Amino acid sequence: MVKRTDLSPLGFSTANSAVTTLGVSRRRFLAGASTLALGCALSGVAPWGALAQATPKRGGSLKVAVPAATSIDPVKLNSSGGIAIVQQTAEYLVYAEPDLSLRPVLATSWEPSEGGKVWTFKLRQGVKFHDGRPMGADDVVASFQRLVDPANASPAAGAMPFLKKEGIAKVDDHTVRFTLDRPIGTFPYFTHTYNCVILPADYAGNFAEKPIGTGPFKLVSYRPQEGAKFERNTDYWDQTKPYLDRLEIQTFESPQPMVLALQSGDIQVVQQLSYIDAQAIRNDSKIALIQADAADHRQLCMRTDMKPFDDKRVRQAVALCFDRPAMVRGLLGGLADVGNDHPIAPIYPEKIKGAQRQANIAQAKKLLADAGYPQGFPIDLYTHQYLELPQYAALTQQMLAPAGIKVNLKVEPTNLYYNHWTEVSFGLTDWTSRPVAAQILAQSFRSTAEWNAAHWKSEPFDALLAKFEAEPDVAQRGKLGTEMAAILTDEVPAVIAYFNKNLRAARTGVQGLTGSMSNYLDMAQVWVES
Amino acid sequence: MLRFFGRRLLLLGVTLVVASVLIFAITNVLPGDVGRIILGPFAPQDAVARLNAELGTDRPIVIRYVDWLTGVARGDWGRSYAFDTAVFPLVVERLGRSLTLAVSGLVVLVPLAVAAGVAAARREGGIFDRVLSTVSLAFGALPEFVTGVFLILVFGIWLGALPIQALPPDGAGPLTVIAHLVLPVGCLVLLLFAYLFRMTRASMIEALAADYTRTAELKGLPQRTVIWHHVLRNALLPTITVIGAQIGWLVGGLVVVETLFKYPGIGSLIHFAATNKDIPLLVGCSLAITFVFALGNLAADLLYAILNPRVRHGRHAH
Repeated sequence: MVKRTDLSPLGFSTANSAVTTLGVSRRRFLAGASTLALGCALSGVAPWGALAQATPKRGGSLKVAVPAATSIDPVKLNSSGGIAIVQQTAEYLVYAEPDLSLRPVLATSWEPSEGGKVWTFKLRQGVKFHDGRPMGADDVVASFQRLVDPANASPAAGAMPFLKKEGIAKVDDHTVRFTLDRPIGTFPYFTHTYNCVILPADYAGNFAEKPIGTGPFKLVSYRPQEGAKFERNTDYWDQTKPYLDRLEIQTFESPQPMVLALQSGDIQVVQQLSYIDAQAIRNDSKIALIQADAADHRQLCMRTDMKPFDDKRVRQAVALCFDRPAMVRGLLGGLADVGNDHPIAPIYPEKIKGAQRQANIAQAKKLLADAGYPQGFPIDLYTHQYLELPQYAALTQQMLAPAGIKVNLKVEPTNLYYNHWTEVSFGLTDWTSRPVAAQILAQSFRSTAEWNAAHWKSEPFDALLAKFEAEPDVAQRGKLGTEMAAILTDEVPAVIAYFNKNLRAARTGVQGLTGSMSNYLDMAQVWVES
Repeated sequence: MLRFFGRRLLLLGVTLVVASVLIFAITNVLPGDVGRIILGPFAPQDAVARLNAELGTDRPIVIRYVDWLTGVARGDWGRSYAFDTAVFPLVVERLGRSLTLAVSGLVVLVPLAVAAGVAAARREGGIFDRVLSTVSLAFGALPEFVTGVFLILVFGIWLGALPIQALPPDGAGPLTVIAHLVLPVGCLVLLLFAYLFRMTRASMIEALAADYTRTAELKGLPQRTVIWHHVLRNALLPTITVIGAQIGWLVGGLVVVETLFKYPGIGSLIHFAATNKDIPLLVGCSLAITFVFALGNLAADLLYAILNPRVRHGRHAH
């Protein structure tokens, strides 16, 4: 299925080792994952891919529940529901698998030059848009230019600050060259940002009315707050796929009706659900839970330019108050990996070494006394009503109390919190996974980053980050990452106590559904058992 | 009667204009930045600013209001920011759906509650009265997300007898449509039954004890005539006012029921518009709901006037 020539000749050593011998490594991964699942508090959780055993069968239809959607214009797209809908109809150049290997989609191969500053993508031949026109380099160039053009307001522009409109060029009908402002060793992963689907060059911003992509399903109808209906694209470039004849994606405003509809069989798949919402169905024999490692995490940011957190010892004291394993058990039933105050999650190929920070109240008190706060201090903690954040904030209040830090909780509605989250002196924010660690590091901890909520500035860190971003070799990135992680763990601009795992649920009979770090939904691989 | 009706219609127009001004003023102080809400927390600030300029949300509120008002006058209700679609057809579709649910609910609820109220009042303190008063009060006190989940669990999941999603598939026949509406309607009935039942029961008891009832009975009128022509006619008056006042809520306020049974009506739409600061959509929904609310009250007043000769004759005397 995946040929070696399809892969980047340079870099991504984990990706290479995982994909070239896909069968073996997948089995090995499963073995590891099932031992993990055994120790997991959530019984009945299947590791990703465990549902993919028998031979795929064509035909049938499925209904999938996703969270609320707003606009489905790929350029402005941001809602989870909208992303899931667009992903069935339009495609990326590459697709990051659950183990972060890259699967060629509209690009068949990619190659860096000039040390990772220039990336050349070979495009798949014989791909047709849903209106019958062939997909080629012009469409790819136009799609990316549209996203990074400052005249269009797209969230993707923020994800790829190193890509300018002028840097995107057609080489021939099936080759596109990206010239970046600076070398980026993992650039192909950035083309997997959710807005970066390839649309016809003449796309006019009216996706809801004229949804033209190259994807496995054609979008037949879309209705706000209801969902989308799809039918099989019989002209799909991979003639073996998709397996389903019809697909319906329903958007839900809240998780409880989703779970109820799954239980009753009205829908067959829930694209994403939280640990708390999964409680109702964990013992249901007709429902399988699929778990995926992710890099989602919570940053408890402390303003390093304001009292009391301008003193590193105070921030270290806060970090020492948290009993992380207890948080993972209490907040998420064990469905998370313990974090060490840096955002490079265990799922990333850059393996980080370093001693894990343990709870130590005595040392926290001593650090506070040294910093001039022997009695502790009162502080307002801001967060918003979302997932386990309010409970996390309440735990923070409890865990910091023994050190004398009196936390006053300010749990706000989401829209209110996001209006000032980078201004508050003590804030708890949810971060979702990015396919590469560099993206999170750059967005949250680079001195000049807009979302550096801790207002933390470190020249050595910035220098390491620039090297890390440019480095194509994963072992080298591992070394640089370990150095950066050590700085973050020592300086603690933010406490990162754990990395969440993602859950999705399906009724038995649904086959081939995989989990996803980014909660992406790939329904082309899914079939129904008769 | 015509003058009364005309005056009420004029008042309705004024109400709508005042409501739209109020809604515009209130949306101005809603928390959140429109561009930021649409593009998400991690979009770059200049993209947010550009989108706000594109949507025109950075212009003064008075200019936006005048713009919107001239649009409405031309039949253009504007475009939803978040859904990127025209407001008017969306609101009309949702309003139709909400009215269907509300009317279905009333069609089941009103005869049931009134009949039960009459029966209970006639044997005040009897077994039927006591059991129904207690049970209905218990259900009425439970919030709809409890009774709704209870109904879904029992009828949708354990018995598997009824669809739990109220929206029928495209092109479904009337029987399928009714089957899909059973659970949400049941939820509404459980929620409102106690209210209407107790109202009817109380006014029935009062009317049964009234002098005119005794006179009618002493005149030797048959029991049936006394109940239908003398007691019920007077006892129903407060019940009608209550139903009229509930219409606005039944159409625009069923956010929980709509969400639970996946029946996106105008309640869910206005809730979405408010949390996402989608001002054109919010104003459009509010106007539609205000309109229905005012119409509901007007209908109740007219019915009241027809049933109550004092109102009718009072109007004629002026």
